[in-house]
Amino acid sequence: MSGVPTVLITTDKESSEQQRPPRAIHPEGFTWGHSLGTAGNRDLQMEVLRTALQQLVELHLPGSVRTLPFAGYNP
Amino acid sequence: MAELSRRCVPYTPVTRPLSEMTIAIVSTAGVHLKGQDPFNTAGDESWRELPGSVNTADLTITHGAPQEHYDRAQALADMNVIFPIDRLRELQAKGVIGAVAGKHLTLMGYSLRLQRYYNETAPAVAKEIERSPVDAVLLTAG
Repeated sequence: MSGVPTVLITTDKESSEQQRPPRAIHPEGFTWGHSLGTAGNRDLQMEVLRTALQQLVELHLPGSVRTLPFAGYNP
Repeated sequence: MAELSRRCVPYTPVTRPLSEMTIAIVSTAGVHLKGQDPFNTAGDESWRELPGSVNTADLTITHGAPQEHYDRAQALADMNVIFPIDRLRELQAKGVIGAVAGKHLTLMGYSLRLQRYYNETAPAVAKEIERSPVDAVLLTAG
């Protein structure tokens, strides 16, 4: 089994951490249904996505969820 | 299939720069094409395949969670909130990523038959991804 690198964006840090994901971010304060922010907020979506993908090429301790702040989330 | 200890972190290293990587989305947020069978909100272990050329206007959501827990309004107005395919395309156009994958997989992420989910669904989804030219997967759950 070769495996595939993954990165998770989660709105539920606690539940996700139980699974020890190799790479995962929790955008701080974002709730279920708003993984990358809100409708039409292209800049915020892009920032969250870029940050998630960056986890693939940066070294962080695998197995936990990084909570990261993002400005501009107004659901 | 190898049994992993619950204490293990399943980590596959990345071997190329982001600008050379093909990225696929796997989502458990209940997203599917309007023409596809909806998920069974009482529990569903199946998945849907979405083409890399998918138009977000053709997507909808079926999920059993109540609206007050899982707000679907934002995603129904702009699916990129949970399935950022347009944003990935923009990253490809800018050369930040190498390519958007030719297929993406979606599930509902709720089932009462967890053994089936663990033993059948997850390995099958992983196999679909491993068989395709995908370098990394972005996971979203809604």
